[in-house]
Amino acid sequence: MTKVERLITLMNELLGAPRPISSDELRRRVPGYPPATDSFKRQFERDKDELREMGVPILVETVPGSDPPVLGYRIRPADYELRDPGLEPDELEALNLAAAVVGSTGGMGQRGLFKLGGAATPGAPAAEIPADPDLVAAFTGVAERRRLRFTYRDVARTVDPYRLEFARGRWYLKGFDHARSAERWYRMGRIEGAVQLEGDRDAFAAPAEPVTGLRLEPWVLGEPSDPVRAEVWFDPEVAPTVRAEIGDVEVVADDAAGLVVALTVTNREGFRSWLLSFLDRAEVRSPPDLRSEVVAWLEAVARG
Amino acid sequence: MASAPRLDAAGRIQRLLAILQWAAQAGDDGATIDDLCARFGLARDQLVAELEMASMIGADSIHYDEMPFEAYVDGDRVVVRLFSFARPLRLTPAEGLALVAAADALVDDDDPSDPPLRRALAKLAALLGIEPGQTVDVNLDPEGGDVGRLLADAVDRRRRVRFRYWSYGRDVVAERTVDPWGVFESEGAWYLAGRDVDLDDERRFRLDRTEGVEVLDQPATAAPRGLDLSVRVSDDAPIAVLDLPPHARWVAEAHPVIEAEPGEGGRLRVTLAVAGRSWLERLVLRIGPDLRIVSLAPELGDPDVLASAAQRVLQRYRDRPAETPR
Repeated sequence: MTKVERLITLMNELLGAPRPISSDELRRRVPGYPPATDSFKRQFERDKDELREMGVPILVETVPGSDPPVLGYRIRPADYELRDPGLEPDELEALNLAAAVVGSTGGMGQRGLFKLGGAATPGAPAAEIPADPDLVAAFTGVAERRRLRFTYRDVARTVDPYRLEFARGRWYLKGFDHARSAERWYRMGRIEGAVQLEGDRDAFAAPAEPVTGLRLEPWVLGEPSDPVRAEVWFDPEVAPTVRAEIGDVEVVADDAAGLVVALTVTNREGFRSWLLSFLDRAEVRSPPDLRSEVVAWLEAVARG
Repeated sequence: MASAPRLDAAGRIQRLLAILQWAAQAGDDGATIDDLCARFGLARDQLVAELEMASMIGADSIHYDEMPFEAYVDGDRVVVRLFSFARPLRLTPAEGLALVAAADALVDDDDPSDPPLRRALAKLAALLGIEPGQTVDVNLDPEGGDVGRLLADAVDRRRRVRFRYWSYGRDVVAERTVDPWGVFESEGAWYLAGRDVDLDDERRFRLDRTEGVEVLDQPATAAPRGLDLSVRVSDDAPIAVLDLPPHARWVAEAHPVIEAEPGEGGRLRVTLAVAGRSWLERLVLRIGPDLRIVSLAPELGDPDVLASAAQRVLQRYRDRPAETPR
């Protein structure tokens, strides 16, 4: 008897059982368990874990009338069954195609598709979105409005998760940080240790204002300060690359003398670091105080 | 026909239940074996083996009513009756996330018609309790944009390409002619792997530093067997040893370091392979005055890289001492 058969048989015994079934009884009813009691117990525990990981809600209760009390197990159909999302055939087909193009760590999309009545996705996906248990916990927090606890930059935090965003190959989380009483972005990969789900569903209200999306531009990202309008010149040789990188910004000039753009800077350090990554192919023209900051930094570096 | 995806036990169980549910919905005449094989990516003998296994479940139980399903092959059809498992299992958060992410990544928000994928995403989101684009947003171009698609097509057709490229390592913008071998993504950036025709050597090019990509009507040399589609600094790249101040420990996260050794006061001494002098200049100007250069490979030039790079950039500011309105 294979593991697949044993797990389906176990599920079949538990699903819709009118009363909880003890492990001794399951051992008699489900073929394929090892005969030794210790081995059976270990195998049974692993099977329960595996079913729960698949999403099977196994209820643990005391078997009625047992004395001394004995634990029993069952699955209530109402907990088990997928609420029908009402996908039309063309919608299911579109979802099938999407899952074939964009994969997810551990083949979770394929498993989900099978549950929705979808087909097998052939071959390797064109792109893969990374997903780990911390991300799944954060997603659960967002979907069920449950608080999260995690450590970030050496600080233990309690966060109401509002938004998950995947950009430039990384996941970011936005939420209300209780310790700081403010909304913050967190890079998921920088969270130290595990993300813990805390408490019940609907622990917080959805934010009144729409949650603003992530801005990854180095001159914006991070703790905000007063915005300033900065004009930056770029060498014409690298202008096309710069325009592609910075996207939708105000272009002041774009000619043989170079590209000049205006940026709204809220993170001066991030701005300086980004600017200097162009070496002498970029120059901040204004405002004068931002320009002097960059010059002072360069002079300090030149002095060593 | 597509080859069967590799599945773990949980995946196989979900596939088997999906096959049974699909066939049971087809009614008393069942579903054809060919349809099931195509839909679930199985060869005929694999499908038959899965069904045989399924029909054994609960068969030797003393209670006949414990058989969850009945499945048999009748000619070219599969007939299934479900006594249990008629409804699919609910989605786990991990499965829901994977499907939402895939759909959200590909859905076109600007499409004025209501495409099926957007409708599917909305229904899935309602089931899971999220708002796509609002509580979960995935920005992903699975092909590397127009340039990525153009280059991938040149790879498929084995055509040589030409483009202007800004080499970060040497800070030089130059025309490059390349035999394209593969387009790939790493850490959120897209790259082309190929052979630089003039250098006659394998190179990686970041797509966002290319300009004016042209596909030439010339055949390209084939990719070597076992081509490694990843970004790596070549083994003979020059080495720099830097003593980083505490605020610059990110360098060790952002770049592959050969060695890292904690120093006093939160400082970190890192050994890293350097793509070129200009690459190093960018790094040291960003880190700032409290960086110390411990040693540089001779081919990286003057060891006083901080001062020389800073002076060169300062020259740009001295050339234009006052703010010039345009």
